[in-house]
Amino acid sequence: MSTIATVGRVRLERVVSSELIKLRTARSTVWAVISAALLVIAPGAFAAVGLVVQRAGLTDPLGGSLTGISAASYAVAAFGVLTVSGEYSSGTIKTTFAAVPRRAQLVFGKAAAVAATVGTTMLAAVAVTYAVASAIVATDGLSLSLTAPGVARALVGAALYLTGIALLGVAFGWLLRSTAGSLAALIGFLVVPSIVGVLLPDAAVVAYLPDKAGAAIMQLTTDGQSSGLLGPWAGLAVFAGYVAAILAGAALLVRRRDA
Amino acid sequence: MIELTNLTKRYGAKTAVDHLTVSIRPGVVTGFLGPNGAGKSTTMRMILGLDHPTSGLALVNGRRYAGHPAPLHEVGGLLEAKAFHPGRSAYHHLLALATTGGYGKQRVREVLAMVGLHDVAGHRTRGFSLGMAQRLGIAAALLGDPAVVILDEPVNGLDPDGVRWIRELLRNLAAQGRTVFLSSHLMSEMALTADRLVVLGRGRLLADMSMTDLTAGASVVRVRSPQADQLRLLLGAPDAPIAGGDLLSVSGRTAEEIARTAAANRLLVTELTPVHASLEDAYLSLTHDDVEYRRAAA
Repeated sequence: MSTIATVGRVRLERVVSSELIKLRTARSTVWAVISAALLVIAPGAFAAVGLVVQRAGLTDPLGGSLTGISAASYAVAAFGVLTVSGEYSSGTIKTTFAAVPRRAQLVFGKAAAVAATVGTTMLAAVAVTYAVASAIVATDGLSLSLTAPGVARALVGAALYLTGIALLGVAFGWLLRSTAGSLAALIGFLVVPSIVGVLLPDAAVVAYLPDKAGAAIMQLTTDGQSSGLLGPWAGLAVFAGYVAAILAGAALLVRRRDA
Repeated sequence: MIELTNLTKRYGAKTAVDHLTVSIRPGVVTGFLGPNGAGKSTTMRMILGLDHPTSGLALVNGRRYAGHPAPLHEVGGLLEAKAFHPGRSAYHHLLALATTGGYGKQRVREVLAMVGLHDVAGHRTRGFSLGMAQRLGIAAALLGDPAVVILDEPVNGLDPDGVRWIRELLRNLAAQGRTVFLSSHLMSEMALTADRLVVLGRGRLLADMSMTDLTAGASVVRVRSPQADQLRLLLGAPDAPIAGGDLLSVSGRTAEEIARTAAANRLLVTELTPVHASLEDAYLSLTHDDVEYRRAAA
């Protein structure tokens, strides 16, 4: 009777399932994901309409599909923050810690659930946007091609970028616990270095800043010269490094801190 | 079984729990009493691994709480009413909790029925009354069929039916051999529910004894005698207060002992009344003494 021996045992995959239940059963998190998807799709579709209206030919091989990514990044950041701050503001966190007393397991389990949710929904949103954009530009006799250089990578990369932002939201949520504080700190983390970075003497450093490194995966060219960004995969690796480091720091802090 | 050894928690300069050593045994309901700020909630939070002790140990069933592979099966805790997301239904709140240990939907329905919330299981908890919230918290505590149940102020906000229900529930849980540890400010309710008591004052252990011993210790015998002064010395109770010149309040002696002492010394006794202390009396004198002692020492 192996089932009896394992009932009650907390395992990472059980924590992930539990967190997925939480994500889809609270309105705030459900709406944050829906608004993120709409923020990807609507601006992308408008951009495609713009291409048709301007009759300037296919200036963007993506047909404007990624226009909404920066707007959507705020929504997924809010989603990531809410998955943690909502537990603190409601007091649920005590019950959660009692159920999963090994807190690193909880931090990484929640991160995995958020990554799975944002990764799949944003990939779907980007795919829908690309399909809609293709249909719109087709009315003008233009056609988008997934096999054009960098297109498929940029589309998948956009979903990965948004997933990373959501994970930063989770990490900042753990660090600061309040919704407003965490969101403000995360936006500061993404935006302020870029503003200060402009003043730095060495322009090469700018490419390593969090939002610039994260955006590298969505560029169509890979030479990195014209855009001032890192190469797509190097940029993604740097961005993933920030996410992993801050998440690990959050796990250490949450383990030490009183509930 | 809960074993606390030299358990200490400091917040900066303030000591919330001060070298607390006490065991809470299975099979009985143990009440946890103490004035506000005595450290009851902090102690319970340390038992559940929510707060880390500054020093000392809090063991549950032989291990630190976080060291148990199946924590919800070891301890069920209710520390705060309304500790759930207001936008989530009672059912989904419990399902998310249950899933961490692989408990299924069937178990969630069972505990919902056990606390009488099955009719509102699908409702969001935003609209729950304090009493319903307490029931949901108790359902969460019982989810893992735990060996130890820890409840902080569980009767808060319950109507008389609810109070009786929880009293019977706790007594049943103890009768099944579980460890039941609860705090409450309602002395009359505690007197009906608890078998043993742990009393805390300013983070230190004031008493750890059975309900009968605690109330017996605070009980007195009222003695009226024209020779009250002499009788007082013979009883070895020089501190026993005298009211109105001939009235003694003697603690630590039974009425029979007093009567025999008076008879042997040919002293007249005109009244001899055992006065049984309520839990409230016993508790107040215990915590009052603590405060007085501190004042005198300072």
